[in-house]
Amino acid sequence: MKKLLLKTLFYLLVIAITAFVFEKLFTYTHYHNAPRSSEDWVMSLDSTDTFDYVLLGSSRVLNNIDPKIIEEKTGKKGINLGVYGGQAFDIKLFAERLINLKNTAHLYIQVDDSWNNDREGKTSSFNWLPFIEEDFVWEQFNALENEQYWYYKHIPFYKYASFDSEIGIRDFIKGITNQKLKSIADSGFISLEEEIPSEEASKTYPFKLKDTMNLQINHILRMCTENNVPVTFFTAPIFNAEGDHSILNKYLPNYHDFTNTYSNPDYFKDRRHLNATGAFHFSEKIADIINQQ
Amino acid sequence: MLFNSFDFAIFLPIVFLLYWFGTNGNYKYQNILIVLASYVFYGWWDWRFLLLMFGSTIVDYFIGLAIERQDTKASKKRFLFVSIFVNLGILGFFKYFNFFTESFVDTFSFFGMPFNAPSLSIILPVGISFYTFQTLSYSIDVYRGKLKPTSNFIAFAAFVSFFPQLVAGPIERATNLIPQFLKKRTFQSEEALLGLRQIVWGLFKKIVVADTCANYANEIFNNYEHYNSVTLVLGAIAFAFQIYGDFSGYSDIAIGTARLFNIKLMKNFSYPYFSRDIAEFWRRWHISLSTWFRDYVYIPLGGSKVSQRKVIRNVFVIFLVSGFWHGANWTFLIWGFLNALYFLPLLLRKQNRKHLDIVAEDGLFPSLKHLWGIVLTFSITTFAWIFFRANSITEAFAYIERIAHFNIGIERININRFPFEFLPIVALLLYFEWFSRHQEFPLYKSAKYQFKTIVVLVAILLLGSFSTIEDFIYFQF
Repeated sequence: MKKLLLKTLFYLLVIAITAFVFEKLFTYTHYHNAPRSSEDWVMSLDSTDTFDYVLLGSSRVLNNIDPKIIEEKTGKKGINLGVYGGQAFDIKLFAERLINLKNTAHLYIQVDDSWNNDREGKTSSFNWLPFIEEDFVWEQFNALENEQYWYYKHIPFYKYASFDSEIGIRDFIKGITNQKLKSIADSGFISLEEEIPSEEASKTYPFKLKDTMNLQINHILRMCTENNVPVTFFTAPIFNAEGDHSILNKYLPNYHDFTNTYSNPDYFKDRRHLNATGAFHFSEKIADIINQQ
Repeated sequence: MLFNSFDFAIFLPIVFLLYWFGTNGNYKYQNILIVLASYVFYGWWDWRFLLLMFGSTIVDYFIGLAIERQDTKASKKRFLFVSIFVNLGILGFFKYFNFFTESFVDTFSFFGMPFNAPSLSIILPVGISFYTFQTLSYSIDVYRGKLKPTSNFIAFAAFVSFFPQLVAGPIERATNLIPQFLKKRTFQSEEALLGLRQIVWGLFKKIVVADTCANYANEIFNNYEHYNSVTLVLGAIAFAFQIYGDFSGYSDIAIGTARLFNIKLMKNFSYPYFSRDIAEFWRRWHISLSTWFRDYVYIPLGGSKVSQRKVIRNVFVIFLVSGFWHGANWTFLIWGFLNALYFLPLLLRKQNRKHLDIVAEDGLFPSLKHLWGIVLTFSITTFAWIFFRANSITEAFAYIERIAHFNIGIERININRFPFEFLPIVALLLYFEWFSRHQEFPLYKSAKYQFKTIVVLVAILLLGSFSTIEDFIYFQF
């Protein structure tokens, strides 16, 4: 029995050491190697990387606004830090990082029908887990009162195993082979080429917002006020929107509603995303706003 | 409770410690603990079906004793029929009721006589095909006089419900398992260590090989109409290794777990993808089921010692029944039919027992002839797996038809992984298996087993598909 116990402990020790070593290695690559996500990118910035503006939001920022067009039109330099499935929870982390760096003159934040969600994004927030040791990141996850995040922080390698297909071994290999996020070359913008399929174009996009303040956005507003960082909010275009974002006027200063700006299907990739043509026109509209401020 | 779950990681050490330290070394207490633990293990999934298992246990326990008490063959046979009726009745109702009803309705509709028949919302109790076959073999063995029925109800209940192999086999024989429950079991350090390593190896096959391959197989089979011939072939290969890693991995964990309790279960897989012909494949794949059908169906039908016409019938019967055992779907029947077609020429030419040895037994690499045999056997087996995996026959034929278009090219598979990353993982599996083919499993008492175990543990941690853990495929059977 003693032999079995010792051997079991030996195997557990092997697992623990391996987990500890790879935890350190994987995390190190997120801090020091080429950024593989917008989260890596913002964490790799320092206070010398200054921007006239930064765009935050979901894929409806990522795919809809091209900072190069804005720069051509306004001469102002900025980046697009939109993330797929990004929620207010993620936007707050980006905003906090940038405010702490004191490198951004103006924040532009996209809000939409996910307004009533205060919690983490299922397809986005895991990209913050490699940085869970950072106080501002841990405070954000800890506030969710979900014990899983305690495990992610304290059990070595648990987060990388749990999200293996997102931040696991493949991501690590990309990191050590310096395969950085391609969109960085385009200041974060990813263009969509296709056009909206006709069967989708015939449908409406219904949504309904509850008349409540989003806690994460409330935090952002407070941080921006305390640090004198101006912030502008906007809603990106939706094709055949069947709903109303006007409630946001009540809660957000400097709010611009572009929900029904375009009705031409040629501008859309699907009901919620613009294609390259639409993104060109929408970037010009955003440039006008940036120019005014 | 899944073997690869946190629940089981807590459950197993508790049962292990109670078994060796809380029973005073008394096998009767050990058996009581095994029955209780097994019922907890099974009830974790759905406690309502504990009654079904308990019912099956009672029926076969008393039938075994009743058969023994009968003086005439005819009266023994009557009791055997009761056992067959009850066990196959339970299996038939839960697994095949809706299939037969729907097939019946479809047939009448085809001939222009449509009608409505009841379709019940029946939940298939997990592992029902396994434990009903196990108890059935007990009654048959008692009837044949190969086994004396046990009067020890707890030992019999432990045989029916033994948790490591309860839900997905190996399908044990009473002649192997019951005697082990009727004698004193002491802790064997070497056996327990082997068990531990076999569990590690099983977890590698499940979490690394099967679940990685599942990502590719699921995507490709579910969206086959969007992929070209090369991708579809790779999808079928991915499924071939998914089902192997999944099922043989489960068997390894089951056998390894049993070893921790000093109970030896039968081998269920023996490097099947190194088989040189289909007959060898079926001696190495799901051995406990293949031998079950051989002993309780094929040989009673006359086996190969009857006229050629009957031999052909017998081969088709066991392969079709085997296919049907897997599930109430025509796809499984076609899968069984194909395997019968593959097997029959070997049997008729008396070539079916040509490869009883280990491939390249004295060498490092196989001869070209054997290599060709291995590749050919794997190819035809994988072809049959397409029917096994597809949701319907129409889908299977459409999949094969798209392969036949010979659209060649490397294309992106729409999953969050490297292109064809399952191939190096499969290569790692085959590497381990090839150099261990003389052993029961690659982490057996071979040279460098310690080092290999560490490599496998690191591979599980680094390469395991933890975010997309799939249920064990054979749970549905």
